[in-house]
Order: sequence, then structure tokens, then C-alpha cells
Amino acid sequence: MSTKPLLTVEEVHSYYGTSHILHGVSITLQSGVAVILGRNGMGKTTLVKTIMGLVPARSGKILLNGEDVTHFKPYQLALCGVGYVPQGRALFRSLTVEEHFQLATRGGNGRKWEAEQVYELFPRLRERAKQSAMSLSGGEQQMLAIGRALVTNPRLLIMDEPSEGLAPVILDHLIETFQSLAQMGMSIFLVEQNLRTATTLAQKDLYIMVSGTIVAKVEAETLLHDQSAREKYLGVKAAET
Amino acid sequence: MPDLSRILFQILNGLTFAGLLFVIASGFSLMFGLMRVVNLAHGAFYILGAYIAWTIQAQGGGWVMAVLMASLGVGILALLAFFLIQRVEGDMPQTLLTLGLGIGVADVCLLIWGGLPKTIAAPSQIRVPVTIAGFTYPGYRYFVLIAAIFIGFLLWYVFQRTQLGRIIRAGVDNRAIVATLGINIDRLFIKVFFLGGILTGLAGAIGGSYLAVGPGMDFAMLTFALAVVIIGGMGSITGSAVGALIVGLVDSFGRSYFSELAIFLLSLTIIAVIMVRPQGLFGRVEE
Repeated sequence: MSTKPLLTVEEVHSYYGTSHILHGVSITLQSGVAVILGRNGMGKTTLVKTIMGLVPARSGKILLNGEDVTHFKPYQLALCGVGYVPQGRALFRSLTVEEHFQLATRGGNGRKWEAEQVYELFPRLRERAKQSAMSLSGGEQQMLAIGRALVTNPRLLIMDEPSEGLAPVILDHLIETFQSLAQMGMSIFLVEQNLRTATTLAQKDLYIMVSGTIVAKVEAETLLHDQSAREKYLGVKAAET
Repeated sequence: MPDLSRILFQILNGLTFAGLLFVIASGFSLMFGLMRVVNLAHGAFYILGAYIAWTIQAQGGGWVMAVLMASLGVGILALLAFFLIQRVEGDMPQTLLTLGLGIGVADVCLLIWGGLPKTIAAPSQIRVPVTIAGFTYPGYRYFVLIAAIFIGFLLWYVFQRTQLGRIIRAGVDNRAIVATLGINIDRLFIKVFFLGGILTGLAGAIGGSYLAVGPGMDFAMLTFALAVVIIGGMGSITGSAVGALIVGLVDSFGRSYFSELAIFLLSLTIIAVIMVRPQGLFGRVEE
């Protein structure tokens, strides 16, 4: 195995139309879990989309295991072992739960993940296998979006705000799932605005993003106990955690 | 009861025309739904299919050969159109390009085949009148209807039961996300354009036996295909089938009972559907 970092983002700039969104973002994920924490509109989704090749990087570099993937198309990135859980789930409304897995299941990595393993992870999806994805509850939809990415058997799972719109109890279950995925050796790159999700998942690789740049790399402990840092970077009061 | 048989006759006319429209519109609808490109050359593709079939017959080829060559020829033309469209960016420039392509192909057809309407001779075995329970109707039209139903089932099977069908359905819903699953959606577009071309060439060859093909037929068929897709909703096989049924029956009854108002009735149907469901009866709203 190489010792190159799994994911490297170097001085990446990107635009949405004419507006400059990412102003030179740099991140290194050796392996394990990295979280980008930031409020709405700070460029988190653009960062994820740029890594996935859905938004072109105007300058800078994105490396995957040392290989330059900056100008890869989304499908090529996926074939390199990157799984993507988009913001708002983006499930296919014409497909049933089962069909999402049939569509997405792909080899690689010894094909550890198939529909069966996802059903074991999220038993509620098995009960809904024949149903349309749109008939699921918010939590089930998020499980399906995660499962859809898992069956592509990625080395790196990129998730864009999986906590969005979920009840706390469901979110707790998801956080536990992410932790067990990480223990199984899956690397996870997560962008979040939910402080609790972010700090539970990443102890060291926790980046703060403000206005299209990474302003700090902090430890979860520090962020949890330093109210002034929280207010400075995230504009959140202690009570909102 | 003469009036009853007239109604039955119009129903069958409507159904057989619907069958033809379904074959034309299903390819059109898939291109539309997947690529967001309205292929305004679709009518020209249709007449080219008919002309190819006619030429094969004129050269002494059999009917089956004529139908196969028309399908393949238009399939290849659709591929060429696809590569041309790929070189242009943006939905509107792409759509305008197809309009230009359509006019160009139709003009070349006029140059080669002239302005006189042409009819493709169907095999004599299926050209005979068929009498069922005292009601006589052209056998060839029954054949068109059965062929359309068969193609419909084939498409339905591909759509619902195969990986290609799943990719197409998911692609109509959200192209970008399909790509992030490691699926090369550009390659899918090529397949869908080829398939759409084959279906349209086939429709031209089959339709040319009872609707004479000539100048102007391209825009007439394009208009019908647009009506089917607007009513049924883009990117849905079921939508194409239902849209084709509605357009076929409205057109058939309109022509028979209110011949001056036939086009108006069709437009009225389109307006009524758009007012209630702007995305068409089986269309989906993109998020």
C-alpha cells in the first residue's frame, strides 16, 4: 500500500457561473474521517461538487491516492473509488428502493457491499424494497442515499450534509452507522453544519470553512469547549449545539 | 346500424394512428427526457425512413429488407446527429441545431425523391381486408397496431427489467447523480439516440404504406410527436403510449366529425392538459 494521502485538495478555486465560490481550498485526508464544518452558503456543497467533478475546478489540484483527478468526469471519479451522498439525497423518483441498488452495485474492493449488506445495516430498507424511493420517510431516504453510495464499493465516501432535516434520534443512529463504517476501514469525507455530528465523527481532521476558504483546522475538544471559537467561526451560541 | 360502424371505424383509425405515433414518439420522448434536447429533426428522420424503404423497394428489394434498411439508416443518421449536437453547448443552441438539421435533411429528400407523394407497398399477405364479426377493416392497419403493441411491450420490458432501462429512468430523473455512481451517461445518450433513430426509421417504413410520404410530412409528423410528448410527458414510455392514444383518437374523430376543427381540437387538448398538468400526464417535475 502507498503512503500517499487518500484525498488531497490543493489551492482549489471554483466558480458557480460567474461567482467565485471557492477561494483556494486546501485539505489533506490521509485516511479515516475528515469533516468540513461551516454554516450555510460558505461553499461546502461547491467544494464537494468540485471534488466529484460536478463543478469544474478553475485552478488548483485534486489528488486521489496521489493521482491527479482534477479534471476527471464524475463517472471516472466514481470508478476510482469515490462514493457520493449528495445534499438533499437526490434519489431517483422513478426507481424503487431495490432498483437503486441494482442500478448502482458495482465491483471493486472485493465487492463487499451489495444490497444484502445494506439491508443488514438498515433493516427498514428491506421492508420497503419494492416501494418507490419517494414513499420513504426522510430518515429512510437518507439511508437509501448512503446505501446507494455504499454498493458502488468506494474507498472514500463523500457526504454532503447527511444530517439535514433528520430527527435527532434518527441522526444518532446515522452517526453510529458512520462510526461503524469508519471502524470497518471506510474513509469518510463529510461536510456539515451540524456541530454535534461533526465533532462526534472527527476528532482531529476537523476543518472550519468560511466564505470559500478553510480558516482553521481544530480539534473537536477545543471547539466543544471554546465558545468564543464557535461564535467566531460558526456564529453559533452554546445553546444551539 | 351504420353510425355504430362509423364510430368503430374511427376508433380503429385512431388506434392504428396512435400505434404509429407511439413508435415515433417513444424515441423522441427519450431523447427529450434524457438530454433535454427537443429533436426537431425527428419529422425529417421519419420521412427519410419512408424514402429509404421506398427506394429499397424500387431497387427490387423485399419489404422486410426495406423496413430493416430504413430502421438502420435512420439509426445511423441519428448517431451522426448526436455527435453534431455534442459539439454545441446549451439546450437552446442544440435544439436550434436539430431544427436546421431537420430542414436540411428534408430539403435533401426533396432533391432526391422529388415532390410527388410516395407509397410503400406492404406485402400482399397483410394487405388484405379483414372481416371480424361482420366489420371489415384493412388488414395492414391491424398489423400496424399489433406491431406497435409488440414494440411497446419490448420497450416496457427493457425499461422496467434491464440495467439499461434503470439507467435511462434514473437518467431522466437526475443525470448528474447517475454519473456519480460510476455510469458513463454520455455512452447511454449514444444508445438512446441510436434506438430513437431506429424506431423513427421503422415508423417511417411502416407508416409509409398507408400515409403517403411527401414534402410537408416531416413537419406534420413532428407536430404530432410534439403533441404526444407534451400530453404524455417526456421521458416516459407509458406517457408516450397514453399521449399517442389521446392524439390518435382526437385526430381520428376530429377529422371524421368536425373536419375543419381537427387541428383546433388537438390544440385544445394540448392546452387543457398543460393547464392541469404542465409536465404532461406522466411527466415528472425535475428537482
